[in-house]
Amino acid sequence: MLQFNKQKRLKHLLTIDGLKKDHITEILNRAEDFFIPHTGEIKQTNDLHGKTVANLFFEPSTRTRSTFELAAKKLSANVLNLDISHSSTSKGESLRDTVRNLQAMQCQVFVVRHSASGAAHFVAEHVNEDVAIINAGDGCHAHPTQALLDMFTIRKHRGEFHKLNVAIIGDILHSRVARSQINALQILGAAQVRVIGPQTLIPKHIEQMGVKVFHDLRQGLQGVDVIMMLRLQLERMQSGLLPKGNAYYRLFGLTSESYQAANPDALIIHPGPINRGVEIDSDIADSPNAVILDQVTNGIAIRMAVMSLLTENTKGLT
Amino acid sequence: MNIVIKNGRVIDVANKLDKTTDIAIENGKIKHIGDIPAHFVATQTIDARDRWVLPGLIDICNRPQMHHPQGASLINEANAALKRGITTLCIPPDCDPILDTSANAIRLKQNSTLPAIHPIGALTTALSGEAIADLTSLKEAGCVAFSNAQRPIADTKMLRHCYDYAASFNLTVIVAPQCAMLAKVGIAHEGFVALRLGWHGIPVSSE
Repeated sequence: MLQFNKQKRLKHLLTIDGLKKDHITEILNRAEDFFIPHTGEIKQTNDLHGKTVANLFFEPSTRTRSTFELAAKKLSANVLNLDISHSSTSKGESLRDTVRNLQAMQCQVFVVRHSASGAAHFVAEHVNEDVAIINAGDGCHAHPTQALLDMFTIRKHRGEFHKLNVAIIGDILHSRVARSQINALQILGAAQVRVIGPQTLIPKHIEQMGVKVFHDLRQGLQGVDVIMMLRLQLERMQSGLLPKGNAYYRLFGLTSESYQAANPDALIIHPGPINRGVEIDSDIADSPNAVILDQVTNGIAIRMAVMSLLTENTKGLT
Repeated sequence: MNIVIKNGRVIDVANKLDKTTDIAIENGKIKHIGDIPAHFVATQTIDARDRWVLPGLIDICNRPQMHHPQGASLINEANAALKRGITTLCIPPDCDPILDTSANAIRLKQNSTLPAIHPIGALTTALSGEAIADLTSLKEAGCVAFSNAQRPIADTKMLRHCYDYAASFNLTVIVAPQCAMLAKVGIAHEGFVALRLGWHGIPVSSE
């Protein structure tokens, strides 16, 4: 596969699908090593000194882009931020030409976010051997670094995956995060993975990914140790997938009442940005079992781990 | 009050019963079917020879013309139904106001307890075919099923969203099996009678 080199090591990170447990564990361990023990602080290193990381964001993003930037700077890389939704592509330049230009500018790592599923894969097909591509979200397909930081957070707070029942709640249909999370949880051997939401937001045939589908929040949360919330985009009500008004919150919102259905002290994670009162109650979002802000910090370490690993693995090739 | 209905053909599909027999009713509840014990004293006896004795019937689509000058009020409709043995009326959502909010459904139900009024909730807000109505809150308000009445949902993707959403909560959806466009202006089956009377016909292909 495109994301592996001849030694079966990762040279791009395009999707979680197809990774082995060792690939994931290696990244999680490496991320852990970037923390200064007992402080929660992230180290400054020279892993990417002299290299340039280009953030190619064809879709708006705040936290993913800024944590990639911070991660690159923590590794002492130069960072080039391109807000492409407002620049060359609006002048008609093709994705391929944009990439070739950046390559000519001697960027070694491309972080790509695009609204089309498969965009990062397309870029990876068209770059030189010494360039590493990191998918920062492509359409509804994958968001591997988000899933990895979620796995890191779960491992840190709850330990072994084979003991955990995990439920993902919300708009699975449009979620690249959910697809990557499901892949990662399966690879790491989570006891059970569930998805909860109305049938309009659950993709058909999702059972083939090995998950259990629930349309009732309280039923779905029974026996669950980790609750993974997804953001509900309000345009889902405009496009006729949900009734307007508070129906979604009433039926699928995580509140202090519905949270009771899960196992005691179930961990709550959320990729952000959170919509208080839309998918999650304020009290719950701010409760001690919600580790939403810790996820953001972990995201920096995970992205450092991915960037340093990929540049190591592309090095020997040229 | 004790009533005995004698010699009727008693039909109860739910209990797979169809035979000529007797029924004893005590204070509005059926007490015995078949052999009536000797101690049961009837205050009224009805001879139902050559007649059928049936459970209360359900009219699954009763559309009272509440705002038509010659139309029946829901109460009139309910009383007329009761006189013909119909004890439950299902009211489709295209009444006035449209049954797309729980308040409208609750208000409709308050009109009568006998026969029971069962609202059929609107599948889409204002029956516009553009946004799913809040089906679960309508169900809580007493809607027994959901339908867009005779207004088509032109966007079939939207129709699929409606089916999917309703299926999530085990809700029943009733679809009028008629293409409104093909049936437009038609008032009778497209055939010789419509031809003779000069009526626009509704073609078979519209169903």
